[in-house]
Amino acid sequence: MKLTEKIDFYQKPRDFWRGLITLILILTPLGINSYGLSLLTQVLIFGILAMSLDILIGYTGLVSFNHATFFGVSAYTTGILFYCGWKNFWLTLGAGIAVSTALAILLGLVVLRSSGPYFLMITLAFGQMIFALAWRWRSLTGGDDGLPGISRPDLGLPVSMENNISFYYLVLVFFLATLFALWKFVHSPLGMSVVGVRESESRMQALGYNTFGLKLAAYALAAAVSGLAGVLYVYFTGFISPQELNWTMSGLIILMVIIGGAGTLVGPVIGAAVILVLQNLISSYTDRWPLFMGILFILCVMYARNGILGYFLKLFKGGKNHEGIGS
Amino acid sequence: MLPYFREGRFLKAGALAATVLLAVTLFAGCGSNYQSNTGTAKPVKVGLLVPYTGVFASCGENITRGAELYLDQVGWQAAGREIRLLKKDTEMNGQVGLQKARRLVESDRADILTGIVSSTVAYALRDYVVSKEIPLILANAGAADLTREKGSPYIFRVSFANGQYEYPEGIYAYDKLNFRKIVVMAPDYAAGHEKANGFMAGFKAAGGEIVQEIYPGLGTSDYGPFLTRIKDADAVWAHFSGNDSIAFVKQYDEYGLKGTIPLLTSGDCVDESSLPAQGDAAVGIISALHYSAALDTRENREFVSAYTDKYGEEPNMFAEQGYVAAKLIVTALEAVNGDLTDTDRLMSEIKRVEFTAPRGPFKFDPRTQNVIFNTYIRRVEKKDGKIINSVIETIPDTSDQWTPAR
Repeated sequence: MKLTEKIDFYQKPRDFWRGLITLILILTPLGINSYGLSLLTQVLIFGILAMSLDILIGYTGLVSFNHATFFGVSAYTTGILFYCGWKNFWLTLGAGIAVSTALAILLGLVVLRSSGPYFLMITLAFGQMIFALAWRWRSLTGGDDGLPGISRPDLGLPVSMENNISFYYLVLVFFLATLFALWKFVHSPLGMSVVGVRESESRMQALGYNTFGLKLAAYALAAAVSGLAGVLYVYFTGFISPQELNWTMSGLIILMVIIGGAGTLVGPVIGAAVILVLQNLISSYTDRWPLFMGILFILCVMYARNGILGYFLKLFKGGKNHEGIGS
Repeated sequence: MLPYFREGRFLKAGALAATVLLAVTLFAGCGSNYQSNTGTAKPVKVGLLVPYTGVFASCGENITRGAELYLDQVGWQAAGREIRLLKKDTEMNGQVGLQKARRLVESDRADILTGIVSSTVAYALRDYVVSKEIPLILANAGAADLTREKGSPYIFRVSFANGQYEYPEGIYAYDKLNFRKIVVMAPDYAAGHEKANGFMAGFKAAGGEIVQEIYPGLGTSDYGPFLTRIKDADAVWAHFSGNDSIAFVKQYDEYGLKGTIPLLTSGDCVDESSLPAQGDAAVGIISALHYSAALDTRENREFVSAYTDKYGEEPNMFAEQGYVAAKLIVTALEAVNGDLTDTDRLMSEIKRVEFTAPRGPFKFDPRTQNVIFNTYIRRVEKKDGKIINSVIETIPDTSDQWTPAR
């Protein structure tokens, strides 16, 4: 418990840095073109998503291969409600998060009974089942054409979300709130016990903890946060298709977490930024862009096992080797 | 236990995170943002969005080749302005396509967008191009709604609406081929259903009966379980494309069905790029399409020989669609004298464009902004050792007028 006492969110020097970062993110729209702004919005949304997966991979030690399911299901919920005439942001937000959380609790009761590679395979299987459902249930989901034409939501505030700058600020507020909340979570007694499960499940059981319940709580929390990302995403792009539920999407989020640095919360956000921006930059110069992404992944595996953040932290600390929290 | 969160480290981590995040985004945002306002004739920028990776990469490649062939022929300029083709890979993914379109429009300042193989990507882009007031010339995506309920003055289509050539094929099958009972097969995805619905609507309107519908999954490699289920009928109509069409046509022959039940298909199923692999198994198949490389007109002969000279293979429907899209853009640019300041005027000129394309007469239906073309009924034949789609009947002026009951 010594650790939690030491980490005070409002400690002075860190306060300064946090304030600076927040200020930069707040001022960015003034000095960036609209394409850069849309890319930054996307990075923040995927940052929220990657952070939520980090709760599972980095802190709980569960490599879940269907994280896109919760993201996509919440996005579909929002899209379908939009088609039913729901325009209010807060209602669809609540519904999206509720549906993905409920789904996570149901799935979690089944998939959390396995672990290791079996857990990975069974989550992949469930993810693909939901993907197939979205593809085939044409009357509800529009099949592979998806649900197009979802317009920006009504917040009940005198600000139009059609304006990309206001939408960016909406995403930024949720991004900072998520970062704060997840930060608090991983340093709460509950969050620490979840890390305990990752370190040694049997020891935690011996200490009298209900490890299944802890894992289920982490699973549901991660799903709820990715549900939030899903709602923001569908309003950002204005459409949703089964692609967002496919395993390739889940794989992409896992890459964001691993490249950025699992178990660091901030690392996955960097991972999301690097992957999305490189994808957009390289692919405008060459069709062979997956080759360059592949080289980056290999380099990360060879030289930055703890992710980009872990690598730089090592440099900061003068080359002292630290065990990666996610490894 | 939590090494990265120990005293003092999070601040460095956070600072680093923000620096990297901002550096990359600013770099991306500003990288190609400069625009020269000097010089009287700035180049016209045409954004070409097609898949260059994934299963439909060859469609994207063929569309690009067709468009580049035409632009070569006119020296990459129209009305004295240089034309620049900005090619972007959509990966057949709506999210990626939308992001690339954003980059083209907001960062590269593209004036016109074209390409689009997949309807998913077209739907994803639809609201965006309308809100940004950028004309979008669809060069393949076939979802009929894109030029119906979801149509817009900014959206034009030079290729086809799903069902547009299948509907007259249904009528032809009843009237001229005297089929009364038909089994329908198509892959189980949106375009497969739309195309099958088009054929069935035409066939039923003429008085025919659909006795069975079979929808295997997209990307099926073994059609055996589906072929053995086929009921007794006068003919089978099928739509498959790409690798699916090769597997299907060969297996239809291998299962001995070719000799017993005649096979009708969509034109996509016996595309010029698939015919060499399908070989003799394809001979005798009757299909409908708005194009055939074997079409015997002056425009098509010239197109085929120029294309074959440049790329060493015969053009197919996608190459022709790319060629037509490029020609449409150049013709419209000439009509407005290269002045793109008035988008409404540009669009009304695009709408008015008519010319003789390799496929025959090309024009838009002014109500939907979808193309009107000749539907060609073709039979696969072997001539001088080469397998071709011979045109056996021309159904002129086919528009996307029929609307299925919803």
